[in-house]
Order: sequence, then structure tokens, then C-alpha cells
Amino acid sequence: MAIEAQQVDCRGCGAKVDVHAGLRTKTFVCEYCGSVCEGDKVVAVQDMQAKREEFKPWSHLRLGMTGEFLGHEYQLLGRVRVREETWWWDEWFMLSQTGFPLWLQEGEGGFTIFRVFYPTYPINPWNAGSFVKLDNTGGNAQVRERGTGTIAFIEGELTWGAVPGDTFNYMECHRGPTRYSIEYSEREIQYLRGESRDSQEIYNKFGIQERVPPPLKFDDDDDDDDDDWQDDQGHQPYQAASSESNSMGAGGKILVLGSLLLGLGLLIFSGVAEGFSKHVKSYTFKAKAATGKGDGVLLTDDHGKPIAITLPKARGAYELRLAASPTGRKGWRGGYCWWTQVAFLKKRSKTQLKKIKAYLKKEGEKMDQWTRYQKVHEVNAWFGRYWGIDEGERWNENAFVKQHYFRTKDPGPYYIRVYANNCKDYSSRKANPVGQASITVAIYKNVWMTRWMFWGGITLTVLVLLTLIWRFRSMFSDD
Amino acid sequence: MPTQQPNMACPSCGAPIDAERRFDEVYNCEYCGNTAFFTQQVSAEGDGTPQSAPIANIFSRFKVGQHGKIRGKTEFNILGNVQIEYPSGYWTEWHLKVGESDFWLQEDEGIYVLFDKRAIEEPLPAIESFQAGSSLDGWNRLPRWFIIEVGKAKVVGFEGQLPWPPKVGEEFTYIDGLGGGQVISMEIEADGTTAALSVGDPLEYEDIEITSEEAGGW
Repeated sequence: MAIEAQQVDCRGCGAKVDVHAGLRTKTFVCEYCGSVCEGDKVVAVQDMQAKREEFKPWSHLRLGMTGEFLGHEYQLLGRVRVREETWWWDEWFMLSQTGFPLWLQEGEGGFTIFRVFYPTYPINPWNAGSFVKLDNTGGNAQVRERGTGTIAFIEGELTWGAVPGDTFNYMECHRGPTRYSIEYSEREIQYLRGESRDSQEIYNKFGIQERVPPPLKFDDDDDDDDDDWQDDQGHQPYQAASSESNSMGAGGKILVLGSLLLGLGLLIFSGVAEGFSKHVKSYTFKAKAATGKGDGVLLTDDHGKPIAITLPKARGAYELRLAASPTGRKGWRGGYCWWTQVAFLKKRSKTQLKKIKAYLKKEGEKMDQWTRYQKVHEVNAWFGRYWGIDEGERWNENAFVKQHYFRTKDPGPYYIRVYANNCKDYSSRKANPVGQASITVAIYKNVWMTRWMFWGGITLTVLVLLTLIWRFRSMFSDD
Repeated sequence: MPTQQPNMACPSCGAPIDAERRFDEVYNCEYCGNTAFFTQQVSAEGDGTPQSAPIANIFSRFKVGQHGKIRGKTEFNILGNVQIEYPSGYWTEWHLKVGESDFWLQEDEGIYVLFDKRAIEEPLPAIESFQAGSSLDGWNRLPRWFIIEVGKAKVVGFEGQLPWPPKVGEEFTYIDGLGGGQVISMEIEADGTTAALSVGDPLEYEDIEITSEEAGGW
């Protein structure tokens, strides 16, 4: 049974217009002159003949049709065509005999029935994340679409004020068949909750005999194709919403998972990689008076010569582990330090040596024992110890072990020169630690340079965790 | 059974007015549709000029005079209603009597809220700064209040018995919000200082059952 109509005068042409919702009818459209009336004012005029054809619904629904929903009969009273930049959808307004409103959204070849509701957990649509929780009917809903809709056409009557050309922001969320729609402006946020319905089911409820138009595919990359997907009634379909714009799609999940695995893998590998290296040889140097000038002390072999080593061919880098032997402490407070330079040398060729010799002669200088060597790699390290008493507590700080990684393109014979020098401070000079020190240089081959792996792994893992935290915050954010 | 107050008659047509409640100030004549205002002394002159605000068909499942239950246990009688127009449409506030207490059932686009009035114990916040999406925290011992609507509205009609005389046609500002699972609503009159605060529970359609005859469906 259709809802009893009352007749009101069109504010534009005076024609009698049927309205069904009594005082609650806020907007009605005169089908004769196209006046969109709100109260006693004409707020817009539509060219009904042209617009009705242009904005024909995709389905076969028409105003005045009745169908049973939620156990009661509803009548289609109004329709609003909403346009986005490249697609559109229809909002059908339907009312029960006792004035309960429902909204039937028609888009993408399907239908959703909406009711207004107050969410248990109101969200602020302006800054909502990709997942939202609005009520306790289930888990989080995924935000599938956001945008700004423009009212393109109105027919029939509505219980709210609407004018063609009006715009509003909207946000659509999905969770299984449950749908949430949030329409918002600075003045109002309206929350709607609904369920998607099969098109054939809607047709059956309204007793429509025609076949449901096929859901048309939409190529959202090509806006110029709009005309291509009109059906035989000249209908255009609703554009499939991009679900990837605001959510993490399959690609995103793979990327995050892959990054996490890579980060953890790098961390683990950097921890175990040390076990892959092989010890080549160790050399211990004891203090010897430097043969050069200054106050440095040369640590060489027992013969005061650089040690000849052969660097084997290595798949990875070499590692140099320097371990200095600490000298003792004297007194309650004190300290000393020294700088150490470990140089890898190669013998110069005879031609080179000849040229250098000639040059030195010209300058009036003489060759020393190091002239015949060319430095190809150098490691500088600081060793030292400081101790004292603060507030009755003894403290001691020292640094006697250093690691250094290096690569050389040419395995083969090298010479090592170790040179140390007291720090400039008074206590170091007084203690003369270098004079008492010794240092062990251990060489390892097939070394993985894992420091970048360690920091890369840390960075990657932290980034992934921050991403996940941000996403979870978005999922459970209430505003 | 409604009782008839002595000396109470419609100032327009003279028809006797049944009143369930001794201290209500507004009555709407069921014969001529006129509205009569009465003071606490039950004076037929009221505040001077009787006003008329005939109600139109508000197309609702509820009617004045019906009774029913909320969530199957709280019984209520519908004494009157107020029709309010706002830019988006209309809403109806139904004046309910629950026991000896007054409640307001707001009906707006298919959602229902059972409101109870709350005293305002703190200075009014600066309403100019409010807009949908903003929030108010810790005011008047209320939970954090997320604003969902701000606008201007006016009473356009009423019927039945009301505890106060509605100011027909006079615009007021309303601010609706959600907080702590409840709906909070504040109405501020044009003078900017007189305000009413209500806190309510949202109800589903199914939560409200009309037990008197002519109970409506969806």
C-alpha cells in the first residue's frame, strides 16, 4: 500500500505536487517546471526533460515503487544523483508507512541499504586512518574511498535540504557485507551504517521483472572511457573505488613483510658472520726505540724491521684486530694514552726507488729504511687508560682492543709497520706507556663487513615497526 | 485516566483541556489546535497573548497520548512534542513522562535518543570555535565530547503538553556531540547566555515499543 500523498503548491509554477512525508518533507521537486523547492522558496530549477534522461538511474528502480524491507513496506520517494570527478552514484530515499527512513545506495552495479546511526566510537573523518572502528558489531572496517560528491540532480522529495550543485565530503568503509558511510562538512558529520544487497534481491523486493543490468567494468585509469561503458539504456556505471589509495594492498603487505624479514635477516647475519672469517696470522710487537725523529716509539719485530706478511686471496674483506697490552696503574688518579698507526707497506719497484733516490739527493737528503716501502693501507687507533676516584668510588676506563676492516685488491707480500706515540698530555709522557707497551696485530681473511648490515637491519626493522604501529594506531584511532 | 484541571479551558474556543500534569505550562487544544500558556497558578491568560502553533503532519510512528516501553521495561507516556526545523530538515522532540520524571525522545532521520536534562554548572564554552570534528574536554563534568553537528534551528510547531512554553520561530544554536557512548546536546538561545544541556542514550528502533493501540511499524 502506497503512502498517502498530500498535495502542495509548487513555489515556482503553482502546480500541485505530491509529497508523502508531511512536514518532514524539506525538499521537493516539481516535475512540471523543475523547481527544487525548500519550504516556500525555489532554491534551484532543473531542466527536467533533459536532466531526467541524462541522469537516468542505472537500475530499473523508479520513484513510487514499493518494496518490503525489514518486515515493512517502504516506498521510493526521492533520488539524488551524486557525482564525483569521474563517476557517480544514486541515493534513493525511501520511507515506511510510519515514517522510518532508509537510504538505498545504487552504485557499481549493486545496492546498499543505509540507516543513520550514532557510532559508539565516533571518528573524525578529516584525520581518520585506513581502518576505523565505529561500533561493537565487529572488527575494524577498511576505508575504501574518500572524496567530495556534488549533487547533480534531484527528483521526488527528501526530508533534508538539498540543492543541485551542493557538495559534501564522504568516506566509505567496508567490513564484509557491512558498509559505513560518513558524510561530513564543517557543520555536520553524519554516520550511516548499512549492508550491501544483491541487485537481484532488490529487484525482487520491488517486483521488477526486467533483468538486472550487468555490472559494468570500469577502467579507473582512463577517464576518457566514460562513454564507452554506457549500457543500452545510456546508463553509466559507478566507478569502482580505488581500494589501494588509502589502504595497504597485497603489494604493500608483501613489501612490509619482505622488509621485516630482510631487516631481521641482516641483523642475524651480522651477528653470526664473524664465525665465517678465518685467522691468518698474529704478530706481537714490543716497544723499541724509534729509529726516526721525534718522541715516537716504533714497535717492530725483534730486529727492528717491518714484518713481512703475505695476504692470502680472500673472498671478503680482511679484518685487523689490534689488542694492546695495558700497562699498570700507579696511584689513585692517573692516565695515559697513545696513538698507534698500523701501516701496510709494499716494496717500491727499482725504477721508483731510483727516482726517489735521485730526488732526495737533489734535495740533500738521505734514504732511510722506510723509503723503500710504499704505504698502501693505514689504520689509526687510540689506546689508553684513565682511572681515579669520584665521590669515594674508584673508576677505571680503558680502551685496548680495536677492530678494523679493510680490503686490498692485491693479495701477496706486504710489510707491517707499527708506530706508536705517546699522547701529548703530561701524564702520558710521564708514564711513557708506549715504552712499556706491546701490541698484537691479528689478521683474518674472508671477513664479511657486517657493520652496514647491522645498521641496515636495525634501520629496516625500526621502519617496519613504525609503519605497523602507525597502521595499528590508525585502525584503533577514535578521532 | 487523564484528569481535568478546574478552570482550564482553551482561551480560543473554550473547550475544556484535559491535563495529566498539574504544573505543565503549555497545552495544545485538541479541538481547535490552538496553544494555551498557563502559569503555575493555572491562569487561563498565561503570559498575555495565547499563541497558536498548529502542528502539521509530522509523519512519525509516535503520537501524543500513546504509551509504551523502552527496552521492554521502562514505561512511558507521550505527552507532547516539539517540531524543530534546521537547515538539514526537521527533528521532533517527544515529551515523555517516565514515572514522575520528564524525558525527551529525539527523533531525527530514523535515529532516536532518550535525553535527560542536565544542569549547567560551569560557564558556557566559547561556542564560536565549535565545528563538526572539534571536541570539548572536561566541561561541566562531561566526558570528552566529540562534536558532530553545529547549527541554527527554530521551533516550528508543537502539540500536547509541554513542561515549558516553546518559543515558536525563535532561532537558537544547537551543538550535538558524542562522548562516553552517549549523545550530548546543548541548545543556546540567541542571547548567547541561556542554554539547556541534555545527555541521552541512543536507542535503536527496536528498543522502543508502543504498547497502546495504533502502534506503528517501520
